[in-house]
Amino acid sequence: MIVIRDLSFSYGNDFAIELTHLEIASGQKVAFVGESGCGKTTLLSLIAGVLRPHKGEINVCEHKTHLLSEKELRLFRLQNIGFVFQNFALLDYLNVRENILLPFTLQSKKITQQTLDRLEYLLSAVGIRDKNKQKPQHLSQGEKQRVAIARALIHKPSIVIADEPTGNLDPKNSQKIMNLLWQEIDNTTFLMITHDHSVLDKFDRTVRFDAKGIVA
Amino acid sequence: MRSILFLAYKYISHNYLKTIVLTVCLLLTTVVPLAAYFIINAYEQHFEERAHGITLIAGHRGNDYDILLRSLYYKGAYPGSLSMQDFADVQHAGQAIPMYLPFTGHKLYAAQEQNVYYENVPIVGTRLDYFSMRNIKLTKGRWPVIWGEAVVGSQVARRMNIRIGDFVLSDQKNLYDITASYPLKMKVVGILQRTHSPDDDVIFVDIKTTWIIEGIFHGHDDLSDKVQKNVVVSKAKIHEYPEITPQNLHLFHHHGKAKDLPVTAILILAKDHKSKTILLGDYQGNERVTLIQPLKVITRLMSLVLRVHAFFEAYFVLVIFTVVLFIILVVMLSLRLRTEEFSILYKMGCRKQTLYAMVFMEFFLVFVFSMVLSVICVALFEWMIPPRYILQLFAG
Repeated sequence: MIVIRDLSFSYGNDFAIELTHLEIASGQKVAFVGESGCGKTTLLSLIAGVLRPHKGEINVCEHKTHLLSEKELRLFRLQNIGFVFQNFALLDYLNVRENILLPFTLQSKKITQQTLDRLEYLLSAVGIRDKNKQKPQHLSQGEKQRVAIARALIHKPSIVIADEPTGNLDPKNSQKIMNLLWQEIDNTTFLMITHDHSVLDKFDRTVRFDAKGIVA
Repeated sequence: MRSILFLAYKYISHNYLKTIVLTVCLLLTTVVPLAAYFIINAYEQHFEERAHGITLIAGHRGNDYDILLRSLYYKGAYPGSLSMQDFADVQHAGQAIPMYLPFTGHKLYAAQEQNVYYENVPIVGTRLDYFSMRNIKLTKGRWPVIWGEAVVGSQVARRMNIRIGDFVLSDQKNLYDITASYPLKMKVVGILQRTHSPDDDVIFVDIKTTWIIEGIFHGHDDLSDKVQKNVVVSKAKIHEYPEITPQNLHLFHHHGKAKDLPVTAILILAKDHKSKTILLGDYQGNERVTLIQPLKVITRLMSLVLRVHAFFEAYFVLVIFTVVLFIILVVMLSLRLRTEEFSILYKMGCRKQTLYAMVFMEFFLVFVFSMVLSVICVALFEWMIPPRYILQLFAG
C-alpha cells in the first residue's frame, strides 16, 4: 500500500510537484502518463525514497519514508524496490548473471541456494539462460531489458518501478517485454511511466500529469 | 568489503586498457627509484664484501679510489707501484699479501682451434696465501709451483674455453716499445672454483712471474761457457726465453736488489687493532706510501654515489608528483564518465561511501598490482644482472 498526502517537492524555483492525496493498493498496476518534464520520474523517485519531499507524507509498505534516515532509506530501497530503467542501466563490467544478482551484491548478502534457484528461474523466464555469462555489450536491446527486469525481480521486491521500460525498444520487442513484465510481476505493486497509450488498458489504473506537474 | 572488492576487481579487469596504462605509469614511476636503490645497495654490499677482513691496503700515494679499485676489483687506473721493501716493512703488523697488477693476458689459441674468443683479462701476480685468505679453491688441476704457471678464474676459463695444459699469453703494454720484453707464454695448471667475485675474471700467477713479464726477471742464453779471460764473448743478439720450462728455469734471474722489486698493493690483515693503529701512525705523512682503510674508502665512495643519487631522488619526487596529478585527473574524468552508473547504484540502494570506496579500491588494486610488478621487475633485474656487472658498469 502506498499513501501520499500533501506532498510538495521542487528543484529550486524551476519546477514543482504538488500532490494532495494519492493511494495505491498493494498489487495494483498503475501507469503514470503525461508530457516530458511534468514530474512523473520525480514522483516515482519520491515514492522509492531516492528523493525526499519538502513537505507532506509518503507511506510505502508501512514505512514512513519521509521520516527515514539515509541509511534506513537505502535499506528500504534495497529490500522493497525493484527498478527497471529506460536505458536498462546494466553495469557493462558485470555479466548477465552478476548484473541480476547486483541487489544482493550491494547488500553484501550471501547468495543462498534459494537465490540461485530464483536466478535460474528468472533467466529461463526472461529467455536469456544461455547468455548468463555474457557482458551487456554482447546483448541486443531487448535482451538487455530482459536482464534489467530479472534484476528488478530477483529479490522479490514489494514494488517494481519502471521508467519507460520500452522506450528504447521497437514495437515488437516492446510487446514482448510488456508481456514478460505482466507474467512475472504477479502480485507485486507495479508503477510504470509510459508514453505508449496502447498499453494503458493492461493497467488497473492510470495517473495523469498535467503540464504544471500537478497530478490530475 | 567483499562486494566492494568484487565490483572494483570486475571494473578494472573489464576496463583493462585503462588499468594497463595506469599500471605502466605507476610501474615506471616506482621501478626506476627501486632499481636505483637496489643498484646502490648492491654496489655498497659488493664493495664491502670484497673488503671484508682486509684491514688496510698499502699503495702508492695518490688516488685512494684507484688503489681500492685496482687491488680489490682489478679495475680502474694504475695507481703506481711500491716495492718489496714496503712489503717487508708492513709485515710486522699481521698477514701481508703483495699484489702486482699492471698486466693483462689472453688465451694462446692453437692454430686448429675454432670459436676463438679474445679478451684481455687482468693478470694478478700474488702469493698462494691470497687464495687461502679469499678461501678460493681449485676445481681442476693444481696450484702453480714454478714460475710461468698460471691458474685461471672460472669465468675466464669458461669464456675462453681454457683447459688444463692450455697456454695464456701476457699482453704487451705498448706495441711500439721495441725495448719492452716479449709476451710471456704461461701454462695453465689449475682452474678455480667460481666465487661470484672479480676473482672469477682474472688469471693468477705467482708474483715472480709478473716480474718476468715486466722483464725484471729474465732468462736468456747461458753465457757461462763463453767467458774468456773474465770477458763474456758473445754475439750482439742474446736470445731471451718467451716461456719458462723446467729446462730453462734455472737461467732466470734478475739484476738488482730484491727489495726494489715492484708491487702494486699490499693487502694487510692486521693482527689486532693496536697493530693497525701503529701501522697507520707509521705511515701518516709518508709522501710515497699510503695506507687506506678499505671500508672507510668505500663509505667515502658511496657518499659520492649517494650525493648523485640525491639528485635522482629529487627528480623522482617530481615524477611521482606528476603521476599523482595525472591519476587525480584520471579519477576525476572517470567519475564524470561514470555519473550515470553511480546514480543507478545509488538509486538501487548503494551508499555514497560505498561508491567512493569502490573507486578507491579500483585504484588501490591497480596500485598494489603495480607495486607487486615493480618488486618482481627489480627482483628480475637483480637476478639477471648480478652486482658484479653493476660494478663493472660503474668501474669500467
